[in-house]
Amino acid sequence: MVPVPPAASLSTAHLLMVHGVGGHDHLSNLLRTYQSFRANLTSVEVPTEREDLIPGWRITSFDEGASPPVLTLEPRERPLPGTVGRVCLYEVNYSGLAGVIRKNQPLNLTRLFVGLDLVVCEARQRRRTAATTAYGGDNTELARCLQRITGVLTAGAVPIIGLPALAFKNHIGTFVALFTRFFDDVATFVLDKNGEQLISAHLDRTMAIVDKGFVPGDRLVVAAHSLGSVVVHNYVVRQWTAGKSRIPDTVVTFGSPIGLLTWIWLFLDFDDMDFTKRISADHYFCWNPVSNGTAARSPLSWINVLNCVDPIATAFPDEALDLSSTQATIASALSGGRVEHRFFGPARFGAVGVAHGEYLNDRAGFLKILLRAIGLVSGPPEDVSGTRASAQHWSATDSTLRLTQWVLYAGAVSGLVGYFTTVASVFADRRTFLFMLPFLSPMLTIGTIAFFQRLMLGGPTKRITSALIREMSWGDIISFPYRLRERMLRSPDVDADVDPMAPSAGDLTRLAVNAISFAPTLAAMAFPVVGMCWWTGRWPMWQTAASHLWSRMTLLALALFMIYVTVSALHEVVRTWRRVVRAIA
Amino acid sequence: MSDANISWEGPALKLLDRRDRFTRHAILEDFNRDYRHGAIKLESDSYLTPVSDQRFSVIWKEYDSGQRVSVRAVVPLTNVDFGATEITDEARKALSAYVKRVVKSESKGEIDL
Repeated sequence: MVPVPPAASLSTAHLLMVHGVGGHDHLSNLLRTYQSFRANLTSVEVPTEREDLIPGWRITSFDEGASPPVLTLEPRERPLPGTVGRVCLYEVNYSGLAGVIRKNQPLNLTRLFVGLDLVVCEARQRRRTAATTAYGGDNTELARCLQRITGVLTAGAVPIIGLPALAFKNHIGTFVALFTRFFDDVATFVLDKNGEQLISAHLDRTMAIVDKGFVPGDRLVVAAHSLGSVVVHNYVVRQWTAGKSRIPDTVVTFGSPIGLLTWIWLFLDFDDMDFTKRISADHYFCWNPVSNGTAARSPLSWINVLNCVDPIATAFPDEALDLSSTQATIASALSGGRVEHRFFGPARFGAVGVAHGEYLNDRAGFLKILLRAIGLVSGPPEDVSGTRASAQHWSATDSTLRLTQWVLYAGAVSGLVGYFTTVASVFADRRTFLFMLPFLSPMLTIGTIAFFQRLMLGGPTKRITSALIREMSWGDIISFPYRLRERMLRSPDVDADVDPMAPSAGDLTRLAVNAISFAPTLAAMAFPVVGMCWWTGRWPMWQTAASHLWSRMTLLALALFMIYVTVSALHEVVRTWRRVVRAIA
Repeated sequence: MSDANISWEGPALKLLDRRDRFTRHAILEDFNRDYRHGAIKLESDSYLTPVSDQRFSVIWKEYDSGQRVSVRAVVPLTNVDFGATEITDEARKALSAYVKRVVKSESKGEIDL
């Protein structure tokens, strides 16, 4: 639909909302944004007029069947000359597209995590003249943290998507689907060239359609959440100097991982994290957002909003906007000479885990910026100050995470106590609890599971060859299991590298691999049982053991141990997150 | 609370009564606390004060050297920069005309400022 131009001297602001990862129904993104302008969406009661942030505006049209769908707002009365006379809201919805891409080619997340762990290990050892800092952080420390996170993901795959998850799929199915979709979507845009190009083409087309409705004086505002901000960032870098497509006047990113992803990209695919030294071998990231034109950059205002304890949100440096340009060039094209970062969100335990999805509920912070950016409320969006300054933000994040870490530790220990109580009840002997001691360190538990995952699944991938694995150090605790596996399975007659044209293993093989990778966890679970049998000298008869194995108590024990492993993994994530915060603060 | 004697004219009360009780409370509370806070002068003795997070504007007149305030209307305005430190005569005239138009429309012609 091509909007009719408003009365002379009044401009139109176009707002394009770009969503992040996960499933998003048609219209959900557009209507959620609109509803958040009109109502307090955190209330379960039907909204009242008091919640309306824009009472002077009314809907004049809504075309839900258009592509993209568009909702138009106009003031009830013709406003002051020279101001915004109409606001058009659109949504970019690539969710269905991304879902189909992954349905056509499903990814094995365990392989994805182990592959990422391997490539991080390789990159960590590759850097010969290590850049000490990039983006103001200590790279060596950040690399260690990244390695720790990939280790946690590798270990966490056992209870969340491994064999135990099958036993509890009726109870954790939704969570597993969310977890899977999150990483599927990230992999689709960051690692899968087909996915990246299809999503980019979808955004380009949407931009072109929106552009058709423009008349001189109109403004384009793009608001992008999470992975959507990376999609938009990619668009801006590609088009900024190409001079072919419309560049937004204002970009508002919220919960954006641009800093995180560009850092990882530099770390994995470039020597010394230097953008001019791209590794000529296989790249890990599929994308290559570089400016490739000569047109002058049109002025762009960029506001980045971060909520406290949002694990995805990063306050990326200006140079991350276009790594192929100098900071001075980027600054000269940015309004105000820089990206404006605003820090919001409550610094409390309850916000951990939900902060990433709370931006559209922040009526005093994020929504104020968005409403000003599109002219629904007067005033420059940059004038909206954050709840706290950068240093306070990271300090508040750290202190909130400290509490979270302790709560998670208590949760992990509770799961552990529950498991050992179940075992102790079988033996009717409190000495069982003595076997709990080695499990009291989540770091040790997760590290051990990750070690065996690396040993059992850490072979060459499409991006890492056997030769690269052979170059890794025997003395590194992370690369040791990769080396060991490579040494054990090496055969002079067989080319051990992955054949990209070969089909992956079938369901039965995958089930068997899942069962094997669950074996170390099973051994850990059996440790107190075998220990008590040995200590008391009461070894059960085969029939007794079998009847215990197929009992509700065993299922309960399995659930409790999986809770322990999952919460321990979360504990390790939070502990590492704190280290990252301290490294960049 | 302000010292002036604030009264609402009948048609202004009608406009206020159109709003829900939460909005009415917010408007009254903000205006009664400090009716001059953020006020913009429209004409010699006529002013506009943004209330309820600038979602509504109260249009009022002052009498007896500020001893008495009479509220003429309360309406939602759009595109008014309440943060402007200075306002030119031309902008003031345009704003005044805009406010008159909105008030007349909102009150269905009952209030003619």
